Amino acid sequence: MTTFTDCADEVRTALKTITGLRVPTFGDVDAHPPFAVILDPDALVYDATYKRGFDKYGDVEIALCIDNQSERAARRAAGEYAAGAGAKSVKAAIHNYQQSPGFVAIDRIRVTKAQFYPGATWGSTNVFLIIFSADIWASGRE
Amino acid sequence: MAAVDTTVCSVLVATVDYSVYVTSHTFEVNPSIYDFTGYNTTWARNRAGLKKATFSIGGIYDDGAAAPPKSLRALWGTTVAIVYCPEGTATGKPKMSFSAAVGKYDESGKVDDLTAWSCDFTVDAAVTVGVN
Repeated sequence: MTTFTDCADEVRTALKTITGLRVPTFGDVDAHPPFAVILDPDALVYDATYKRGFDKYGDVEIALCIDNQSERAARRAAGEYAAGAGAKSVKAAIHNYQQSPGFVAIDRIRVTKAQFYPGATWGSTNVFLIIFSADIWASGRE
Repeated sequence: MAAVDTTVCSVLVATVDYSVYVTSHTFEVNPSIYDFTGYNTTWARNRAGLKKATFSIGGIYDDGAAAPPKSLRALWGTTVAIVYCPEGTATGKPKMSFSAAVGKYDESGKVDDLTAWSCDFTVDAAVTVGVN
């Protein structure tokens, strides 16, 4: 049986391959920037295939917070995290991990978009926030 | 009496359970119909001839060796055993068993979606209708 926590833990493992990015445990939102946390999915849609084969977690959000004390530096860092490729790229980290060594709980994940919130606050911290969205397909079986 | 949906539908191809990768299926029995209309009649006359059936399935592309499409590619151009259970595999539920020639096969995809495959089968000889 696969739970969303299993999937989130694997996304977290993939994100930890980005040097310098803190990735607290799923459910823990107390961290210092730069950090990324996996948020609850928008929905769990059952029965993507017959016989309880696959379910889909739609629009799973990953919130990435960058220290915004220097707007210029924050914007530059945001560009690197949001880029489709590169050492800091969230999308590349997840997709590269999917190719090798590969996920176990997650059958397929695709990071679909990144949205930018330059003037956000996380707790009492002024941050440059990026919200990544991803679709995750995982087993619906025992 | 109760409605049936595809969450319980079971499809075995060459003894491998493909169900968990399948997103669509069609089982079609379409006997030959021949016209034996004679002169001096206002309505056509038709009789059922030989029984024929086809089966098709499609689903998501899984990269496992035992999953379609990899296991299915090895079956191109062969005749395989298929067991189709539209109401699931619980005791007493209907089960249709037949041999079928593996016909048209395709893999397809588009942006923003999973890669897919589909395969058509033409039944060879009889469909055995039984129960689990």
